[in-house]
Amino acid sequence: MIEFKNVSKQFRDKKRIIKAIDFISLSIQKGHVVGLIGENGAGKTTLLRMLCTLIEPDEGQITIQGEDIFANREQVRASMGVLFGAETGLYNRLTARENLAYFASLYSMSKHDIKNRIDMLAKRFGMRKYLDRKVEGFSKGMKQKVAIARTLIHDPDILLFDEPTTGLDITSSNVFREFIYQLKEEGKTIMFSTHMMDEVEQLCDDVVMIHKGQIVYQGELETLYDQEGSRDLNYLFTSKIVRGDLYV
Amino acid sequence: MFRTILMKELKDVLRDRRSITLLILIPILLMSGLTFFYDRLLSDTDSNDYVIGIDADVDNHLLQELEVLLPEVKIEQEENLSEQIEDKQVHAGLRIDANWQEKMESLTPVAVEILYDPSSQESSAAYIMLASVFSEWESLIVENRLIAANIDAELTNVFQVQETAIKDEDHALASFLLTVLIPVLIPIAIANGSYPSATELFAGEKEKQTIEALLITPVKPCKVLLAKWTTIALLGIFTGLFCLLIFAIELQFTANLKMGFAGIEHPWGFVGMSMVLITLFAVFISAVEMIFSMLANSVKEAGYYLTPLFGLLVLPLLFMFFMSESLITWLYAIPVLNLFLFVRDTFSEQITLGAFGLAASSYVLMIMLLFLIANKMFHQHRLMLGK
Repeated sequence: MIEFKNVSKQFRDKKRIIKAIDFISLSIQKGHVVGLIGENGAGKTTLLRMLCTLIEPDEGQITIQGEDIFANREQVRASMGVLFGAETGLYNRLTARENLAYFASLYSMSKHDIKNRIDMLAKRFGMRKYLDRKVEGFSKGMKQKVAIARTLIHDPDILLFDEPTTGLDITSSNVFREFIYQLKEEGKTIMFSTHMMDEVEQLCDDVVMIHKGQIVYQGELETLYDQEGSRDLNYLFTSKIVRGDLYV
Repeated sequence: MFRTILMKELKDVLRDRRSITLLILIPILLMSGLTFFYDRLLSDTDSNDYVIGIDADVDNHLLQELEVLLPEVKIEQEENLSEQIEDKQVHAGLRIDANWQEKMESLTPVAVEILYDPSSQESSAAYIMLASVFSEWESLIVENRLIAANIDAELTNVFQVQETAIKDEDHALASFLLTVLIPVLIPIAIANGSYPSATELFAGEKEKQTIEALLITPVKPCKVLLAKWTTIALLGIFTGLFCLLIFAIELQFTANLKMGFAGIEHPWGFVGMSMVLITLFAVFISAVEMIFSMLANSVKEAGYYLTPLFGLLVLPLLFMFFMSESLITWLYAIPVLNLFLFVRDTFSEQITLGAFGLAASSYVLMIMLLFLIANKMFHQHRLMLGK
C-alpha cells in the first residue's frame, strides 16, 4: 500500500511562495488503478514527482508497504515505472530497441533478460516492424508505444503516468486504455493523472481529486457516485471544486 | 553503469550531423584557412607588387632615375594621383618639382611630395619604402657633392650603426604569428567541439523531457552527471588534439610559417606539454559549458549563454599586448590566459616546469571546483526539471 501522510511541498517563484501540495494524506491500495484529476497547476505532477522520489516533500512522509520511500530511493525507483507525458523520455537518434535496451541497462538487467524483455514487449505492443528504426521518424502513436514499453521494461509493480494521453489522437488514446486494462489484469498498481473524465470512469477503481494542492475527494468511484447521487464525473468534479469540499 | 551511460551518450551525440560538423569539419577549415593565410602573410612582405603613380607630365630622365632606384616597383604615369590611390589603382603617388634637375644643379632643395592613404596598410608600406629610397638617394647626392667640393665624404658619417638581429627575422616573425595563432584557434575549436554535446546533454534533455526519465532510474545522479561530463570532455579533447594534428601536418606544407618552430629548443616537449594543457583545458571548458547548459531550459537558450562565453576566450590576446614579455610565473594560475603565456614563453624559450605545473594545477583545481558546483546544480530539481 502507498501512503501519503500530511505531505506538503511549496516552491519559491521569485519572491512568491507557491503551495503545490498542502498537507495531503491519501492511501492507494495494491493492485488498484487510481485516477488523479485536477486543473492545471493543481499539484498533480508534483504529487507524482514526489511519489517517484524525484522531489522530496517539505513535510510529511510517503511510504510504500510502511517503508519511507526516501530511505531507499534506488529500491523504490527500481520498483516503479514512470511516464511523464504521452511520448516523452525517448532519445530520437537511437532506435526503439536501443532506447529500451539503454533503460533496461540502467535498471541493472542482464543482457539475456534485456533481449527477452524487448522481444516480449515488441510483440505485445506490435512494435516489431519498427524496433530497429530511429525514433525520430516515428509517429506520435509509435512513440507512445515505445515510451510505455520503456516504462514497463523492468517489469515494475507500480506504474505512474502523468497525462499519458494529452495530445494523442483517439486511436493512440485507446491503445493506452487497452494497456491499462492489461496491466490491471496483471495486478499492477497504477496511478495516472488526466483531464479526461471518461478515462477515469472507464479505467479506475479509485479517484483522487486535487484542487490547489488539497485533496477534494479520495476513494472509490462507486462510493462517490452513491454519495453524490450522480454518475457524471465531470459534473461531480466541478461541483466539488465550486463547493470547496475538502477531503478529511 | 557509468560506462553504459557514457557509451549511450557518445553514440547519441555522434549520430548528430551538427556535432560531427563541429568536431571534424570546423577544425579542418579553421586550421587550414588560418595556417595558409598566415603563411601567405609572411611571404607577402616584399615590394614586388607595389605600383607607384607619378605625375603624367614628368620628364623621361626622372622616370629613368626612378626605374633605377625602384627596380622591382611598377611606375605608372597618372593624371589624378589622389583619386588613383583612393581607388586602389596605385599604392602611393609621387610629385616632384618639374625643375628638379636645375634645382639640383643650383644646390636648391627639390620639393618631393609622397601621397599615400594612411588607412591602407599597403599604401603606408609603399610610403615607407619610397621615403627610404629618397633618403638613400639623398645620401648618395650629398656624398657626390662633397667629393666635387673636395671635402671628405666621411665627414658626414658620425656613427657606424650596425644592426645585428640575434634571431633570423623571418623566423621571429613566423614565431610571433604562431604565438597568436595557436592559443586563439585551439581553445575556440575545443569549445566548439564540445558545444553541441554540452547543450544537448543537459538543456536538450530538459527540453525533450528525457532527463526526467533518466533521473527516475535507480542510477545515482552523480554517476549520470559524471558520464555526461566525460562525454562532453572527450569530444573537446578529441577536437583539441585533432586540431593539433591537422596543424602539425599542414605546417609541413607551409613555406614560411614552419620556420617559426625553429625557435623552440625542445619541440617534442612543447607538443607533450601542449597535449596535457589541451586535455585539461577541454575538461575545464566542458565543465563551464555543462553548468551554463544546466541553467538553460532549451538548446537555443543554452546557445545564448555560451556564445558570448566563446568570445571571452580571445580576450587574453588583448592583455598580451600590454604585458611584459618576460616570464611572470603567477599569471599561469589564470585559466585561458595561461595558454597564451605558455605558447609565447615556449617560443621565447622562457617556459619553466614550475610555470607549466602551475598552469596544470590551476586547471585541476578549477575542474574540481566546477564539478562541485555542477553536482550541486544537478541535484536541484528546480533546475533539472524546470518549473
